[in-house]
Amino acid sequence: MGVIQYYDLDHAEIFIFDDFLIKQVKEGELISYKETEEFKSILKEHFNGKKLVYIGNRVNSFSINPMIYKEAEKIPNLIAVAIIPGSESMRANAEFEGQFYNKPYQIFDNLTQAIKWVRVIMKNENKKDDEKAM
Amino acid sequence: MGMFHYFDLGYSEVFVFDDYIINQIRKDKVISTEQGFMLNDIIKTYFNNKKMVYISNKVKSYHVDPLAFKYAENIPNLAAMIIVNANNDNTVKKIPLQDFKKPFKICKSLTDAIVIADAIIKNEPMPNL
Repeated sequence: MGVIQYYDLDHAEIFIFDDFLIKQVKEGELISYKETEEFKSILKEHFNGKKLVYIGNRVNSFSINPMIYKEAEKIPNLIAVAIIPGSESMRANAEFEGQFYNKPYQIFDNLTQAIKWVRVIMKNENKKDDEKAM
Repeated sequence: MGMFHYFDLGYSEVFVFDDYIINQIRKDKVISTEQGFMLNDIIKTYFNNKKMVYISNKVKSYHVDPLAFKYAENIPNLAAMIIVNANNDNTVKKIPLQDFKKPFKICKSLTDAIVIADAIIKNEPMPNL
């Protein structure tokens, strides 16, 4: 419990926390199906069905195939996506990509804001689970 | 905001985020001033004179040389220190907290620590967690 895990992949760095992970894609990379498969295997290893939120820290310039949002949407325990854009153009891209994702999706100015949102989302999810169990 | 960074210092792993660093120390290590120097280099490089908080993610047992606290206290932009003790490790009691003259908190989860660090950086009242 509570250990931060770190991955340095070819295309991105990933920081894994208990309820969320932070992905920081490297400069010039393209995020598409292959990268999504790699991401899914990391999720399986660390979360294995446990709910989590994805936080994207976008400081580098990279390309993303918007269709992978549809793939991400199918991951049942991935309950929300937060994006921290590093510039105004990255913010515009993040707003555009949000249209492809039909689960909670928010854009934040910094990591602390994103983590506060994760806490709210997780609290609501736990409440829902408790109500179902009753 | 900025890029996040990771360092494997051998005795610990350091994660650099916007307003705080998280130090995850490996089992049974003694934290001395030498490690303080290494951390200070990271703080200088990534925060310059910007106010920041040091978070220790205590997932393993370790010990702290009281001199390391004195050293940390003198890092001017280090505003506070937070220890995350999610596993209720008793060795926290042996950490010479009384020797540290800046704000010091112990909390139960990393996200609690991050919310507290944010309040300290912004000079806001302590959040009710």
